[in-house]
Amino acid sequence: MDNRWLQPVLERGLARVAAPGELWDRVQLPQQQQSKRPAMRLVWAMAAAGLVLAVLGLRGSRSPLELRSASPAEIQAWVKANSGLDVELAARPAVSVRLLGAHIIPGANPAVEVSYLAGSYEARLVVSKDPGASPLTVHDIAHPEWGMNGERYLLSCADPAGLQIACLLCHPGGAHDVTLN
Amino acid sequence: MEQRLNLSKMVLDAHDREVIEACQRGDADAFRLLFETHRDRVYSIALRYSGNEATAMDIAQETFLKLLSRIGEFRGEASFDSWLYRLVVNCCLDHQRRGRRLAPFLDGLLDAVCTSAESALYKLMRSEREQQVQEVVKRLPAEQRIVVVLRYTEGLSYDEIAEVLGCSPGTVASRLNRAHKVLGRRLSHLREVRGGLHG
Repeated sequence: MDNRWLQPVLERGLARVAAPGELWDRVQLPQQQQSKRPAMRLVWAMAAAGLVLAVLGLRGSRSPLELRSASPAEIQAWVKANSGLDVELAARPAVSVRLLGAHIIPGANPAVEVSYLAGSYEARLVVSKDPGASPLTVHDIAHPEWGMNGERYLLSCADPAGLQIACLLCHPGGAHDVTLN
Repeated sequence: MEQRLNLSKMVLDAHDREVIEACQRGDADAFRLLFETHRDRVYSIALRYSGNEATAMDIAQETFLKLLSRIGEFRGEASFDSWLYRLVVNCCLDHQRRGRRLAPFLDGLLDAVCTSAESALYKLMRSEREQQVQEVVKRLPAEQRIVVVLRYTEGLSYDEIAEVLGCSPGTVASRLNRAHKVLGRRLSHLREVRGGLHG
């Protein structure tokens, strides 16, 4: 069989491409976190995290998603229709972010939880209406919280290493301008 | 294949050696330089092997983190390129073994539609053709697929691929030959349009 025509087809179809800029963020973050923590503190943190996870495991699993979707627009519209909250998601999240869906957290202070994968880490963005309400409670370990446009936001991720990648949900250009405490 | 590399060279040039030695001493700037030099290569192999951008990012991240943790083991006995290729190839194969998510076919098409800076139709058609190639390659057995990626994404010779994979050039030729037969059959519809959609 004469396959000479195939070589240029494969060369074009499999050509080298430019790596996304966010790759550096993903490579850099675990190093920074490693260098910030002395070994013993890491051991204690892991032990504490294990304990928390064990306790949470006894308390049951998370609420199931009411909406399963990978579309930012669909999730945004569903959240608005069901909670009145206007959660601004990037129209095209970074390639490391994969939206999973959302669900409403019922209560006196209604909140919504948007679930997604940040790289290989599970992450959630929790938004509630009242910025003055008591802090949102989540089961994950890392959870910076902030107020914006009259709403309270909380970002959570089961693993601190995934937290900066999780920021890419709303900052698809990279985590350079995102500061986490 | 302009980007052919000389993997068989046994001696690194002075600049490469300096950068690698600085990396081994923990110099962050040297690591950044190494990253910038090789990022596209590593990501491209990961993307062409996995067929999925998010998976490729995972593999590329893992490769660079491994590079950082194992750079001290690099003794300069083989070429650095060859060492790096082995690292990324192993990450690709490990990732597949762990059964991470596979590529949805329409992702690439959606990308083309959403980022319409140049002619949207032209870009869509070109992207669709690239996707077809990518999809067919993705269905090859892993040992054939990695040979195809190293050959066509990186332009490596049979001997160089054999060095990276730790097998004989004859094995590489045999795997490539089998892959060509499958690819030729499954991509035969692209034969007629060749030349019409050059990138």
